[in-house]
Amino acid sequence: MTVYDELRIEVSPSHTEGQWTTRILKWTAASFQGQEFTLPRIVSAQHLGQLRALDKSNELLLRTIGQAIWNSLIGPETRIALGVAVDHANDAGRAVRLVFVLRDSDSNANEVRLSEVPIEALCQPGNANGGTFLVVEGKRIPVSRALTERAQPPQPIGFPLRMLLVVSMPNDKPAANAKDEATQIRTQLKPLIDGGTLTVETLEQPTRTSLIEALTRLDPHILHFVGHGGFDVVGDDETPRAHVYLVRANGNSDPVDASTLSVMLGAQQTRLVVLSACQTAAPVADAPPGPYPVRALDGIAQRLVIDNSGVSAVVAMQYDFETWAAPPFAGTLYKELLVDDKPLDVAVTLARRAVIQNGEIGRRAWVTPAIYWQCEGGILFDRSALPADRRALFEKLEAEMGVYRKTLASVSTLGTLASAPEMQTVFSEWVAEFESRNRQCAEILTRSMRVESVIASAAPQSCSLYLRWNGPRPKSVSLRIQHPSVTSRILGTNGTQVMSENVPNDYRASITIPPGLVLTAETEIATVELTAPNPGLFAISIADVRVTTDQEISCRGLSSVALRPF
Amino acid sequence: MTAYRDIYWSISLDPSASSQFRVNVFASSEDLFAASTHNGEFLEQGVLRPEASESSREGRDGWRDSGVSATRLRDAGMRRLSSLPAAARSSLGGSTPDQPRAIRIVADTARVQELTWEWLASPNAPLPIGLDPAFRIVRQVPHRYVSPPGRRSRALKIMLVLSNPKDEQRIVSHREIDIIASAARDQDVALCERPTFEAVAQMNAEYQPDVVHYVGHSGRSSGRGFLILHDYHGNTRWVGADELASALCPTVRLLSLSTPSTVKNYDIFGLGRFAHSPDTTKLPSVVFNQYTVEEPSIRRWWQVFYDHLTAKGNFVDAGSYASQAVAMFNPGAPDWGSFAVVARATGDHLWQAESTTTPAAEVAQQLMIQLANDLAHVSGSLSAETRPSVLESSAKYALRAQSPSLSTRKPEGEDR
Repeated sequence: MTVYDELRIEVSPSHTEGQWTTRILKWTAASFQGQEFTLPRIVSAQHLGQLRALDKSNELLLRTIGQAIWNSLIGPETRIALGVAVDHANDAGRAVRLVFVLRDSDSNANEVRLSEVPIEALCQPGNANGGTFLVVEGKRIPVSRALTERAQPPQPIGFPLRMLLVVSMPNDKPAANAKDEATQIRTQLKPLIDGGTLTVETLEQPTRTSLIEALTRLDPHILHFVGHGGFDVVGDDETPRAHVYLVRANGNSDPVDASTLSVMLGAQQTRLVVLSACQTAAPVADAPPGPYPVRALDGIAQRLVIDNSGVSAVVAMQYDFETWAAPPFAGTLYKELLVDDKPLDVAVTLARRAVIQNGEIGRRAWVTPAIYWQCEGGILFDRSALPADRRALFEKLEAEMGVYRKTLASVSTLGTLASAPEMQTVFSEWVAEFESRNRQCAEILTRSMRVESVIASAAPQSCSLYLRWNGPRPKSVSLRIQHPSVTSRILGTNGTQVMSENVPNDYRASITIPPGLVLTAETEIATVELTAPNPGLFAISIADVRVTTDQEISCRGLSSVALRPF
Repeated sequence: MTAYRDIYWSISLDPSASSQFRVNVFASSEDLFAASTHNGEFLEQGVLRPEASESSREGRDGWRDSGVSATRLRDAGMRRLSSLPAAARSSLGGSTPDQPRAIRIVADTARVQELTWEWLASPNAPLPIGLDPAFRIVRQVPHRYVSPPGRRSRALKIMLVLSNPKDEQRIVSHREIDIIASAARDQDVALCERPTFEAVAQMNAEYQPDVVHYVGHSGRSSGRGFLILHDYHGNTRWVGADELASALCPTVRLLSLSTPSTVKNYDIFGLGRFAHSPDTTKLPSVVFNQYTVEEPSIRRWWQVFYDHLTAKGNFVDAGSYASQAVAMFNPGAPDWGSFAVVARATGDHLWQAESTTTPAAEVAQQLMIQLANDLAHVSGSLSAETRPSVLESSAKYALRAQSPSLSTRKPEGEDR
């Protein structure tokens, strides 16, 4: 997995009106850390208004606004720091991420609030194209927003991951491409759903009651909301607030504000909220005037992250999110996040590129999603951990498998007795018990190595090793083989390469998966040939399987087998 | 089949005082196992303080090699009995030859295991307890489940392993072989001479013996016992209990460990440590020598032992009768007390007559019991939520192993 160096920049209103102060909070280069720079605010309310109103492609305008943002936030010193940082990281095989801490003022007096600035449109001036969009061009540096200093560690979870997909289309709101977005999400996540890694439950036309019921019952790790949002005065409370629209019993819209949603989520394990709804990331600049100041943190995203709802990250929309853009964005986001195990900001960056690929770089859609987070390194879930109950079950299964494996190995000393019907019966039964537990372990882990296991009665023998994998593409598989035979060898199949031929009785073999090998649900990757000391039944053990992808994953799929003729 | 009145003496180190052991007395193995999970109740509890002279620290050239007088044997036996807590002593009452009391000594500490419990003697009784027909002294490595008795052959198949490596004090092989072969003259004896570990494993698989009888040196290392076999060059190759267990065919229900009579054992304590390997080591029940024995006693003991074992199938009884026979043959000599029995997973009753079990079904039963015990063992490391289901599986297998459905009646006279 690519390691990211983080450049964290705090931006706050300067004492001098019309200026912002930036301070480098965190950087690998100590010489830059803590330094403050004051910059004139170049980006204007007019820029933001133009961006908010942009409903067709206008690359020149987007780059102009992006450069204005750059010049307002990235001064000469910060630019140097960023350049040095990128070069240094790249030399070391690492990448860079940019995290902004935007310290907005609650005052409504500022012409441009920091929380309204689409930092995602940062465009570095200086080339013939009118600059380079930092996020989607050039070095493609992920950009995100942090609101607090605290960072939640990855949440230990077991399989399956649980997603609640909420699709809300009230009668009194414009039609949204909600169904297409939901379909796109399910399509991209199909490998995980089929493999049992992920469950997706869809809740359509959610009322408050049905949403609370679904949240309570499912306790999802991820909440994805597709529908409408807005920023307005709601009900009797004259404080303008951001909200999403649920559905009333009569089918009309029911606005639910950030605080209410935060309370709904407070009792759950939900760590990621994706709001594919308009204007859920920040309050609009032209909020209606009134006796109450518009609080900068009244966006739903900000409220969910700031409050103690347990949410680590929110991806929300700063502007109206075009219906054509939502499906490719959401589909790519979850594929990169859950299938390919990318950090959240990297997954969002790749999702932005998918939006550009489906539209044009001059369209606002790729700028619209904003990430607010407080998770370490963008890693939301620790999937190597198992929750306590599944860990207990897994340990039970492993303990039982160890016993069955040892008993099956005893059969290897039986000689001719092994072929007697009484022995065949119990042996078959124990093999079945072992394999049943092996499958259960694999289901718990969802990533397994399956080994052919059928009773054999002659020697020499071979068995096939199949890889069943639901994760990032494996580069190699190593495993420990224990067997009683005198000689053996492991042969690669389907183009795989194996480290060694003559295999002692207790050996670790490494199988390299070629890049061109198409991995199906079950792919044969090697055969093991063994010459038994005596004709008859015996067992081999495959253990401590480790699959190497971009990150080393220890896969504890085990199997002890008897052999069958090739 | 002899019905014993069992009493369990579970003896463990007392951490609160050095050279002191707690003795918990249990009426049954169920109570013993229940106590290990803090749910059992013992009958009585007391303290044992063994004499320092009884320990293995006296070295290799002590009385175990040079011999002990009958007087010393009796004195030691009486002191041992008196050092037991009242609770243990009181459990010795009311035993008769028709309903003997089996004193099952459970100890996981070598210092206790190496005490010659067979010498226990009361000043009011003419015979040591080890010679009293009303008692059986059984060293017990407790297993939750014990194999049902196997099918009795007309003769026992004994695999005799005579180990005589070049780089150790040489045994007079032909005499040692003659001693055991003549003692087991009515049995079916096959010799494994120049035994490498691999040769022992191979012969086990091919011959499928009932008994493996080892004659040779033994040793201790890291607290464990080892038998000293051969390597491919004829030099010493130490084999531990787990390793040997992996080579034993499941047909083996008894392991006999004889110290040589023609040469001093390298370290005779190794035999006892080997025999007392923990329950996770898949050894059958064991008979072993605690100290050097004269050749005539060896011949007589093993002859009576194997004859009785063939006739009745109970190795505890066979050992008791053999010891009585040796004591009658040579009154006053301590040889009878050298032989100790250790009941393990194959239990006391190794074979029975008129069994309808086929050889393969026997082996299946053995393995099923082994599986049941292993499942019970691993359950101890599991959570409270998952442990019951594993114990249930364990019990299921134990029950099935006792089930006659595994047996198939074979025509009369058919042998393996």
